[in-house]
Amino acid sequence: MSKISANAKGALLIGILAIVYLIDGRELSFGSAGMPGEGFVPALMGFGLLLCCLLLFLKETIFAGKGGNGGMAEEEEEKDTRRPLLLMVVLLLYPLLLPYLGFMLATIGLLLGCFRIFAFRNWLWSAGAAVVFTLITYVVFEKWLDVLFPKGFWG
Amino acid sequence: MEGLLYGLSVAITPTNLLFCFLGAFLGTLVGVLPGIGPVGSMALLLGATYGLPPETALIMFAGIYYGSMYGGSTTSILVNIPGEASSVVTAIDGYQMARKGRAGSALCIAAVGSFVAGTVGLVILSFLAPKLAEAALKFGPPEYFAIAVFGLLVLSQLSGQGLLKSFIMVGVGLLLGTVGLDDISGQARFTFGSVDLQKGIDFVPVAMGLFGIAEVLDIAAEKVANNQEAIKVKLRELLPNREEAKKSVGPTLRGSVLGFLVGLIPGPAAVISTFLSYTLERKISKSPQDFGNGAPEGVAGPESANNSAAIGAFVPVLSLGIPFAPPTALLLSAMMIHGITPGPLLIQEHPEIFWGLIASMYIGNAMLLLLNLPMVGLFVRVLSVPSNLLMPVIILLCIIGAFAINNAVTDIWIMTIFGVAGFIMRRWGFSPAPLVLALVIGPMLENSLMQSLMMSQGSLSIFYTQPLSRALFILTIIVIVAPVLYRLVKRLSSPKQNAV
Repeated sequence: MSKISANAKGALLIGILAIVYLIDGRELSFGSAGMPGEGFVPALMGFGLLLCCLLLFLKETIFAGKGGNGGMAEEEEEKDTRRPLLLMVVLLLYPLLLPYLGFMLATIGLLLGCFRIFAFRNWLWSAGAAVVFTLITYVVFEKWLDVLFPKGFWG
Repeated sequence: MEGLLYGLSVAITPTNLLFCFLGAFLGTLVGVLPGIGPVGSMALLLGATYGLPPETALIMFAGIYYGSMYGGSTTSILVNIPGEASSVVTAIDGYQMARKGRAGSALCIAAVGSFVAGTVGLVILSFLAPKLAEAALKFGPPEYFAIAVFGLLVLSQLSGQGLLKSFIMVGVGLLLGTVGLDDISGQARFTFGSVDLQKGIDFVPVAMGLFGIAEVLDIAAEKVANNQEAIKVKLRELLPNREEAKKSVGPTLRGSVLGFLVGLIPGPAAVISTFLSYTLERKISKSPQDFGNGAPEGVAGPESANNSAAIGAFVPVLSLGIPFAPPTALLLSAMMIHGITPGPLLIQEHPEIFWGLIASMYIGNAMLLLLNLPMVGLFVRVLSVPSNLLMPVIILLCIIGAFAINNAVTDIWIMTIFGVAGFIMRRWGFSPAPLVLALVIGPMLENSLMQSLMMSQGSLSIFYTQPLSRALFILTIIVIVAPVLYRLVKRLSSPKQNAV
C-alpha cells in the first residue's frame, strides 16, 4: 500500500481547515464587487486556498512523478516522538492551569516538567532551577516591568 | 543642518547621553532574549521611560527601539529563533553560519551592517524627511494593495519550498488575518464566540509559536545527546574573514538604501525590506546556491535593510504623526504619554524633541556598535549553554513575551497552538515564514482591496489606471514570470548546446 506524502497530508489538512473557514464565513455578507461586504475577501481567500490545496494534493497523488520528493517527512531519520509529545502536553496544560494556580505555581510546574523532559540532571536540580528561574522572571517582569501575571487562587 | 546642530546640543547633555545608552543597552538586552522582539521589548520597557522629561524619554525609547532591532537578530543567528518577523530572513543564513562555526562573524556582519544602514538612513532622514513624507502620503488604496500583493508574491518566491506550498502558507496567513472584528463593518469574523479573538490574532504569539516553540519541540525530538545545539565557536574567530567582509560590503550599502525607501511605505516595511533585500542579493549573486547555506550576503543585506527601514519608518511618525508599523505605533504612544502630539507642527513647536531625537539616533547608533561588538563574544557564549537548560528557559521567555503584549492568557494559547502546528509543518516540509508575513500584511491587503473596489465601483481597472499601482503590478509580474521564462529558455537552449 502506497504511503501518502507529507505534502499531500499538509494539503489535505489545510484544505479541510479552508472548508471549515468557508462554512463559518457563509454567515458573513458577501456584498458585490462595487460594495464588498465583510465576507467578500474571506470568501476569495478561502476559495483561493482551497484551490491551491487541491492542486497540491492532485500533484502529489494523481500526477506524482518519479522526481517528486513528497516533502521532507519520509526522508527524515527516525526521531523521538515521546519527548515532543510530552512537551506539548505540558505546554497545553500551562495556559489551562495558569488562571487557577497563578504565575508562580504554574510556572514552577511548567519548568519542572520541561527540565525533566529535557533530562536536565536530576529531580532536585530541576526543581531548584525551576524555582530560581521562576523567581527571576517574576522579579524582572512583574516587579520591574509591571507585567500583570495572573495571581490564581493566591489572590 | 542648523536644526541638526541644535539637536546635537540637546542630545549630548550628560543626562540624555546616559539615557540614550541605557535605552540602547536595555533594548539589546531584552531584544536578545529569544522570543522577544522590538515590539515586545518596547512594550515591556515603555514603563521605564515614565517620569523622565519628554525629550529624554523619547531619546531613551528610540534607543530601546533600535537596540531591540539589533538584539532580535542575535537570537535569529545564535538559536534560529527570530524574535520578530523582520529577523526571519536573518535566521536563514545567519543560523547556518553559526552552525558552521561562524556565529561571531555573522553577529559582527549584522552589527556593522546595522550601524552603516542606521547612519545612511539617518543622513537621508535628516535632509529629506519632509519631501519623502509627502511622497509617502500620495499612496492610495490601489497602491497599498499593489504593494501588499508584490510583497507576498516576492516572499512566496524566496521561501524555497515551491510556489504552490508557499501560496498555501500565504493563504493560511491571510485567513488568520481576517479573524476578529471587521475594520469597516465592525462585524465579528471567525471568532467562534470568543471575545478575546475579536481583537484579531496578533502576529507576535504566532511568530513565537511557529519559530520559538516549534524549534524547542524539534530539538526535543532529536534523539542525539542533549547538547547537540551547542555549536562550538572559537572566540578568536569572532571577526569576519576577508572574504566574508568583502561579500558584505555591497549588500550592506544596497540594503541601507533599499531599506530606507521601503521604510517609508506603510505596513510592515522592516519585514518586507528584509525579504526584498534577500531576494535582490540572491538574484544578483554569482553563487546563489550559497544562500540558505550560510551566505554572509544573506545576513548583511537583510540586517542593513531592516535597520534602515526602521529609520525610514520614523519619517511618517515624526512629520505626519501616522505610524505605519507596530514599533512606531508604540513610539507614538510614548509621545502621547509624554504630552507631545507628533505631526507637521512638531518641528515648529518642539524643535528640541524633533532634532534632539534625530541627533540622539546618530549617537545611539554609534553606541550600539560600540556596545555590540565587544558583546559579540558574550552572545556567542549563549551557544555553550546546555540545551537541556536553555530550552525550558526559552519556553518561559516565549510565554512571557506572548503574555506581556496584552496581559492575556489567550495569547499563550495562540502561541502554544501555533508551536504545535509549526512543529508539524516542519515535519511536513512547510515553511512558516510566508504564513507569518501574510498574517501581518493581510489586514492591509484586505482593507486596500475593499477600498479600491469601492472607489472604482467594482472595476479592477483602478489597479492599472493608477500609474504607481500599475508600475508595481508590472514589477510583480516581472518578478514572478522572469524566473520561469529564464528556466524555460535555459531548458530549451541546453539540448541544442548539448547537440552541438
